[in-house]
Amino acid sequence: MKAHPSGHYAKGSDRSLIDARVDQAVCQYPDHPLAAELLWLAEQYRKLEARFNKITSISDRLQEQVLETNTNLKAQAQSDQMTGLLNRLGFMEQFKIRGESLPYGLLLLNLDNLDKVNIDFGYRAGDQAVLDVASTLRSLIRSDDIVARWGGEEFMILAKEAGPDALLEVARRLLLAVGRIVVPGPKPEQLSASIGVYLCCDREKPSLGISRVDAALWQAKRQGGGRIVIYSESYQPDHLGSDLS
Amino acid sequence: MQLIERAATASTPFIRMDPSNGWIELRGESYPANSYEFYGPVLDWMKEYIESGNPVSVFFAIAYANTSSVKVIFDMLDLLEEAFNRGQNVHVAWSYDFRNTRLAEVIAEFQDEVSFQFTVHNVPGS
Repeated sequence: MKAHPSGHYAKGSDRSLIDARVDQAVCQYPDHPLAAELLWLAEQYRKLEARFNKITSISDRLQEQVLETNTNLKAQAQSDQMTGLLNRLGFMEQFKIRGESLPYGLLLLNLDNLDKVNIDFGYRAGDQAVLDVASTLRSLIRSDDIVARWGGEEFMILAKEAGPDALLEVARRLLLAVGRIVVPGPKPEQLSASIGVYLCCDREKPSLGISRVDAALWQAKRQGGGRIVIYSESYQPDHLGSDLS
Repeated sequence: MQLIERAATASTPFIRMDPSNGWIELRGESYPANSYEFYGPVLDWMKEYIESGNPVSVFFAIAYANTSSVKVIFDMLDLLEEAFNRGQNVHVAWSYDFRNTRLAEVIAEFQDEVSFQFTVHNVPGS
C-alpha cells in the first residue's frame, strides 16, 4: 500500500516506519542505556495512536446517530402524523424547490361533508374518511407530484409541468375518486369534495399561488361545493372572513 | 470521601458516586462545553476511591457522548483496568436502548479495551 503523501491517513505505514526505526536504533546500539526507554516510548506511541483512532471512530459513529436523529425529526416535523402525508411545512419546503420549474399546477381539495360525517358517524369514522381520502389521492397523483394534508379536511396537490387541460383532468379524477368513498353505516354517506385549481406559468412567490388556489377553492365552496373551480383574476385571494356569512 | 451527586442537565449526565459502597453511576447524555473541567473532579474521586482497594462498580447509561467525553470514559476504564490488574474487584455495566444499534457498537468498542467484567444490558428507553 502506498503511503498517503500527507501521512494523515497512512497509519499502517507510519506505524511500520516507527517500528523499523526503533528496531534499527536498538540493533545499532544494543547496549545503549536508553534502548529500553526507547522501546517503552515506542510502545506508548502505539497505544496512544490506537486509542486516538478508537476515540475518533466512536465519535464518528455517535455523530452518525445524531445525524440520523436529525433526519428522523425533520421527517416527523414535516409529515402529518395521521395520514403520513406531508404537512403544510413539508409541502412548503418541497414547493419552494419544485415550484422552480414552470408551469406547475396547484390543487386544493376540501371535503364538503366531513363535519357531517364526524357528527353523524363519530370522529373515528371521520378519521377513517380522511385516511381513505389520503390514500386515494396518493394513489392517483403522479410520482413526481406531491400531496399534503393542508388542514383538517384540506389537501394540497402540486402537479408539476401540467398544462391547463391535464390539470383539469387530474382535478376531475380526484373529485370522482373522492366522491366514490362511502362512509359505511345504516345510512351510508358518500364523501363530496370541492377543488380549487390554479395554474402557474410565471415565476412568482409561492405564497401567491397558495392564496390564489385558496381563492379558487373558496369560489367552489361558495357555489355549493362538489365542484372544481379554476382560479380567475376576478377572485380576490383575500376573501376570507369577508364574504363567508 | 464524600458522596457526590449531580443532577443531569441538557448537556451533562446525572452523576452519583457513593463512597459507602463504591457505586458510581452516570446517566444521560454527555456533551459538556468543557469535558475535562466537568469530569476532572469525577476522575479525581475515582482515583481516590480506587486507592482504598475496595470493590468498585460503575454503571453507565450514557446514550450520547461528545468526543472529549469519549476520551474521559476511556480514562475511567483505564483507571479501572489498572485497579483490576492490581487485584481489585471491578465491574462495569452499561445499559442502552436496543433500538440504538450504533450505541451497541460503541459500547462493544469500550468493552474490547478492558479485561474486567463489563456487562451490557438492553433497557428500552434508557
